[in-house]
Amino acid sequence: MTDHNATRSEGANVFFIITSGDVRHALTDICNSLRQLGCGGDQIMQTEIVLAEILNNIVEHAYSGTEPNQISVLVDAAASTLQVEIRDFGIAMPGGKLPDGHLPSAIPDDVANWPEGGFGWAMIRELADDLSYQRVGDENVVQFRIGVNS
Amino acid sequence: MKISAQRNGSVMVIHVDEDRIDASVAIQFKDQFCNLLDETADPVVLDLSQVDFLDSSGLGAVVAVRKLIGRDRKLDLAGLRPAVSKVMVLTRMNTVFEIHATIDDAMRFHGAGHVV
Repeated sequence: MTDHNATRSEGANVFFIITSGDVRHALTDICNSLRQLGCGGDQIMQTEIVLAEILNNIVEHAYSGTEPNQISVLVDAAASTLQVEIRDFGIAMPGGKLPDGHLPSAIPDDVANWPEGGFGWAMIRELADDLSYQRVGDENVVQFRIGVNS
Repeated sequence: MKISAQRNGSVMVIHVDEDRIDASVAIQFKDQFCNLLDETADPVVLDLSQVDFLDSSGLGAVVAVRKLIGRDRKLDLAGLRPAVSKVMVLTRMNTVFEIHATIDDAMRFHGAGHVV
């Protein structure tokens, strides 16, 4: 086995502290790290989709109108199911809970009636298992899991 | 952002030469796409074969340009990579967009020749 042929091992964690101005590069780095830990392509893709939506939501809402701020992302890759925790110091979720994010069960044929938003939370809720939100002191803490076949 | 238009007979092809359409480029995508559009009613095919990742903002921008074009003109998608395809399926937008596996398939569908 070569050095760069990393395998997932017990206690394998990916931890990133990112600034809210650089979500794009952070996502690429996190996915590369998960790949090096031996995670499968489909699981990484699903993790990236959910992470992208949650991080963008933090930038656009929790840190809205502020200077670039810190977001931490911890992915516990020790087991086959990835356990992800995202923390930020922005404003709390309205109502102390995550948005519902439902799309219509069928998209209307007429383009004028197509949904214009709600895609993000709909995708998060489709892909993320055990999704939770807590306000802990000054921090927002979002946790979720992505299984091998979520 | 790198995006370009190409005429192929009666079909207008818009190529996105970026690996991501995400929150950081969604508005640019929408503006540049609209600048490239001609005044005809010919079908438009959006070539996404270089795009590895589309987030909800990127999808929102694609939906927005679809709405701007109006119901009298077609906008098809072509060359979806796995993560882009996944996003379309998760949001069920795959049920309302005409999606072609490759740009050549899209050209055949519209009775136009190969894209050079």
